Amino acid sequence: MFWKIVSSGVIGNALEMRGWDAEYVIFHAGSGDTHLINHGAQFILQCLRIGMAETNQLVDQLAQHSGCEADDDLRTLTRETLLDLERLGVIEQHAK
Amino acid sequence: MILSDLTAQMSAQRLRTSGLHLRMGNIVVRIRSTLPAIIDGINTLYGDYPLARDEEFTDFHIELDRPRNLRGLVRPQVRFLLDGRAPFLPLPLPQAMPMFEWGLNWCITHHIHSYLMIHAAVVEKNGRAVMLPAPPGSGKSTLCAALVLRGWRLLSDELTLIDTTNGAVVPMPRPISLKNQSIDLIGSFSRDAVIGASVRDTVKGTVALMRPPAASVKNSLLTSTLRWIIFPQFLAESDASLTNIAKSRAFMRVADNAFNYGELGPTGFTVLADAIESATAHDFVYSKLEEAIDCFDRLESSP
Repeated sequence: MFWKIVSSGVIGNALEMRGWDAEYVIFHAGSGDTHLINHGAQFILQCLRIGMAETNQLVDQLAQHSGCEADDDLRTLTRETLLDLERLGVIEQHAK
Repeated sequence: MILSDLTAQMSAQRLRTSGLHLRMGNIVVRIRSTLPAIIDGINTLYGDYPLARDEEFTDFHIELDRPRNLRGLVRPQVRFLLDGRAPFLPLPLPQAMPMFEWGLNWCITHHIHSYLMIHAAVVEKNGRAVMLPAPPGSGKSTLCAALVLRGWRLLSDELTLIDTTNGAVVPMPRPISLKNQSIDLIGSFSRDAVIGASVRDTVKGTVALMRPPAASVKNSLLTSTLRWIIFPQFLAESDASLTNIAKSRAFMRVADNAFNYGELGPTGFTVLADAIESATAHDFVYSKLEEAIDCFDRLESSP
């Protein structure tokens, strides 16, 4: 199962992002909603902007980015962040 | 030519007949009314405003009159008309002048979407603007009135307008709405305060309108750059204190205070993000106006 950013249905970026001091605000064009997210969630969204990805791929990329082990704690944190973003309607699961 | 260049009789005559076309910043409003409270209020509060030529494009045609109903015999009412239609229910007749102000705010926030409009006061000094977003009851208008009576330029006490094309803060100075104890407080704060008649029993309590300084009206086409975002909160017996807020948090709080952030979509997001980028954000607690003004002056004099 892959994760992807929910399409906005219009031409242009589905997501706009701006950040200051490791916190970010994002605008999702599809829903018109604005959300406050942390650095980890922002990094995941940056990865998904490039293309769909599985959870384990995102865990590995996060580990590389933050210079830490891809351990159980990181996997749990990544899964929770993905579920939070899904609840916000920003990302969705997709069977490739 | 400004309104006070007309005699009181001439302005009253125009209000009763063809209407007065007043320029308020970038908009032109035509006002018509035979109601004495409106005639007196406009002459008292809008004397420094330029008169627009009758043939100039008029953004809003506003009329205030008494509706013809049975209430006219017992508890008379006032009706606000925009382009001949009443967008709200009538109010008690004594509330005519506040109704004009509230109605005009409604006209602006529902129609002029070339700006990101935020429920916030905004004042300026040396080209740098301070925005004061705040819900009712926070002391925003009282603080705004005190600042403009101490040399800050009034851009607005209610609607911060940010140009969506270039991010400039656009003035639209109008009378400052004071409520309840603030009316006497500001009246005794400065001899320069010109405050219209108090109107009791409104939904906001007793309200009165303070005439904006002539210099603020004269410079109402001079835009400014947003430099500080300050969320004020009056707290009795407190010392004035300014604390920093993270920009991301400030963004969310300002978006919550914006009238048309949602309507503007990604443009609203970008305009607000750019504004946040250029400014620092703070919470501000105060109880004494002179102390609050000192704080603002020190902030303004910092690099």
